[in-house]
Amino acid sequence: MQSNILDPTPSRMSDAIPTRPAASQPSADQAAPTRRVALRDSAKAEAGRYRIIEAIRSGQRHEPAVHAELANLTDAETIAKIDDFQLWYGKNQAIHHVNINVARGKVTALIGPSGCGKSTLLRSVNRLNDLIDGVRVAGSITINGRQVFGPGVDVINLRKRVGMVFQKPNPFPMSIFDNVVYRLRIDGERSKSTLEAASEKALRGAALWEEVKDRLKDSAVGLSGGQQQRLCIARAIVADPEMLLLDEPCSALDPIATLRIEELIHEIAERYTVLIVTHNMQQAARVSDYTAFMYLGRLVEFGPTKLIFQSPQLPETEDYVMGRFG
Amino acid sequence: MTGSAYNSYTRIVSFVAAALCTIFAFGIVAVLCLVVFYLFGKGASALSWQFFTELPGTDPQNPKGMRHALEGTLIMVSLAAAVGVPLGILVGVYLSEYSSEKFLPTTVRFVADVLAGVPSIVVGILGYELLVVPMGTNSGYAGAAALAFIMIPIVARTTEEMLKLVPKSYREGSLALGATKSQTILKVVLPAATGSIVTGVLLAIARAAGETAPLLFTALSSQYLTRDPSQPFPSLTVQIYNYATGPFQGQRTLAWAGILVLISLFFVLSLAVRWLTRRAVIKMV
Repeated sequence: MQSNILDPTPSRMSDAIPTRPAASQPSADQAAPTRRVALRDSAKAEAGRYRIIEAIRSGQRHEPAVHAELANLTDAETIAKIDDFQLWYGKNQAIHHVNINVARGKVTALIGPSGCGKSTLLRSVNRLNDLIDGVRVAGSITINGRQVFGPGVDVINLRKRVGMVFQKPNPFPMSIFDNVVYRLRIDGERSKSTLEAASEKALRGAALWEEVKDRLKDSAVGLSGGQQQRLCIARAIVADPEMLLLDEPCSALDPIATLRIEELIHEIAERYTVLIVTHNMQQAARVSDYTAFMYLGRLVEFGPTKLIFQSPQLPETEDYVMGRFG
Repeated sequence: MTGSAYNSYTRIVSFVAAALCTIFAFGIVAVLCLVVFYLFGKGASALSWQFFTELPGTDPQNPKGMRHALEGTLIMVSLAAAVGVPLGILVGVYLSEYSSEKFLPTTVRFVADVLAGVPSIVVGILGYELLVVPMGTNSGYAGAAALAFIMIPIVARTTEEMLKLVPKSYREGSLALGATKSQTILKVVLPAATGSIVTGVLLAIARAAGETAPLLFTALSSQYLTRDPSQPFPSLTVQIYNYATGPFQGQRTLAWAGILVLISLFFVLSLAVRWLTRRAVIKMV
């Protein structure tokens, strides 16, 4: 049953009881988690199987299962420390007491059903949630030891150190070149040769150079979706950020473009730490080194991706990654 | 009612409705054509090179041209645009990007809407009371101020609406790269909306260039070629008004020519607006 985890064909994402054999479904990307119905399935599961999920639903504090490898990361191995982090949208608490250590130079994936707070958590790391009225936080996030929240934090500087790529490719309506060097220009860089060298390096880093080198002056809006997303990656890495946040970077792309981005994430991970949110379990399995499973704003299990997908500590994680629950 | 009877009934209703729509549509276009043809008939014969190059001259029965009025309108509208367009864009940016509080933006928006709808004669009287009376003379500056007053709400509201059409993802993308809010607005949001904002500006300019009432009270008019806006100032619209209501046939003929020039100006501006709008929409998607 566990041998097919890394198979691109996912098991059926239904509210099946755990014992029912999984039927296959053709498209990995379209395994729409929105169709999955939360809360209904546990009643069908054996009583007490979802100990932690039950605790979360009844609002009790729980101890997430954090694998020893991650619990014992040294400070030098950790780039970002999310420590007892909580977040409220007005009166609604979206994130409860989350602790995640993001390992330096690795890809960490956040997975979980819709509304589990994974995107919110990601957008907290570069404080993009500040744009929303009534957001309140508690606990702390640090990147390379520097606080993300708190008085006197320079948010602009923080965002310069942390690159981000969004769900839907969002190149600015300007030329490809202007898009890539945007980050440098806002810092006042004017030297043409510097900008040209940086843009070539970033576009090569995003595996886009060969495709666009002859039309850097063309509008970025004319690129295909996959190219636009790689352009957004180039734009995010042009100034060597300390960390890269990817918010479901492939959810608006076709399977081939998705594959290219996934390959790219592998390459990028050699130079930058990546924190990626994904709806797609197969994608998490393919691209990440560590995986955190979140549910209703809490961390459930956090460990090496291989273990999360092949022998997780919790039955709820196992059922979720198998598509039986969530 | 049987099925087929019902069918023929709907078909008849639909045919009649379509026929009525077509007739009225043609009717409106016909009226418009009539106006344009009439204008051409009356104006084209009076329109000559002289109209653009000559001043009225000394013979009031047979004025030669309206060069002074054309230049006057050009200067006053330019002055008005130089003040009104930046102010209007700033207000639009404020309304769209900085209006996180509730009271002030709502008030500003409401005031802008009311101002955009105020009869232009009111603007004229306001300009007269606030500028002409204290300055002691009618002047081109007062006229330009009145025109700017008319332009600001139009530019502000179009700018706001156009900026709101700029996708949020552009703003997020820019902020996530560490741009400040003002950098984001200046480098991404405004450029993305430039085409549509220019459209609003052109509409405002067309509106200002066609105003008569505010200028009657503020700039008044002049028979001379003047480039000193501190004096009573000529304008195409007021000149047309004066000549059209004048006692001499020669004046009325020249007024027709002036109207034709004004209409052509609108025509060119609307074409520019349409062209720009189409381009702007393509750019946004």
